[in-house]
Amino acid sequence: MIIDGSRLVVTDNSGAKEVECIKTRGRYASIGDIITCSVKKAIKGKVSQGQVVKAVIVETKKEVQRKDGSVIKFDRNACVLVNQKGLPIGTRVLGFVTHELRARQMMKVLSLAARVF
Amino acid sequence: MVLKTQTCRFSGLRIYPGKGVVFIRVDGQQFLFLKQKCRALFNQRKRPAKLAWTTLYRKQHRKDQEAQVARKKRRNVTKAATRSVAGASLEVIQKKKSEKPEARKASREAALREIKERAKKAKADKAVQRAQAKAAGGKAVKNVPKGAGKAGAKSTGR
Repeated sequence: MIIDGSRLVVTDNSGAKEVECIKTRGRYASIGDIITCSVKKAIKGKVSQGQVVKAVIVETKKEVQRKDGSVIKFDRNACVLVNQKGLPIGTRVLGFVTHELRARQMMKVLSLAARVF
Repeated sequence: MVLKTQTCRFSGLRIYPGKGVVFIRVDGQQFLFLKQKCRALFNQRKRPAKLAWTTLYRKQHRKDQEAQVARKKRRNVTKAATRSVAGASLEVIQKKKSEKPEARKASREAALREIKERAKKAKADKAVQRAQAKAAGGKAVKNVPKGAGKAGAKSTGR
């Protein structure tokens, strides 16, 4: 459940460390959704502080219900920065990724991730 | 159909498909909880070993052991029972089992001796046969070429 103003951890090597959600497509966004956000904290890299970027949500504290009835939830809200086409800006995905991204055609993010839940 | 069940990380109870919540910590460790009660207690950092209703506590305090022992005993009894195998009925097996080792050994030796004797006899018979065949064959060999030669000559003449 990511709304405008939510802060997310960035789990890739694009340079951004923390972003703030500034636009969602609906009332709130969940795993697999693409949001617009502004970079709040960054180290040297492809993006800098204050930049407006797109990001795909990969982990949420709010549990996600699957078709088979199982439920999955994480410890934090995290995202991976992507460009307009949905391809990752960084070259690595450091955190976890779920199968929900497969339905959203985020194959590049899925293949980069170390673990898929 | 066999349902694939998982166990609850906190209570140790079985989780059937469609139930339970997977919680994934930042370090990648997975926690599977059966219900909100387990999850809430886990979040409160309660230890399952100190709550009497969890399987961990029951295991530590040996609560369900009597039933397990009884089950094991029954299993052993069924295993020990002898039954008839193809070619050997139950009575034969029992008789063999109750025999004294000495008697068994004696009978075995007798059987072996008999086999040996039979083999010896067979050998002797063969030797005799061979000798007879040699004696007969010697004559035959002498006779055959003569007859064969004649026959051959005759046949060629025809």
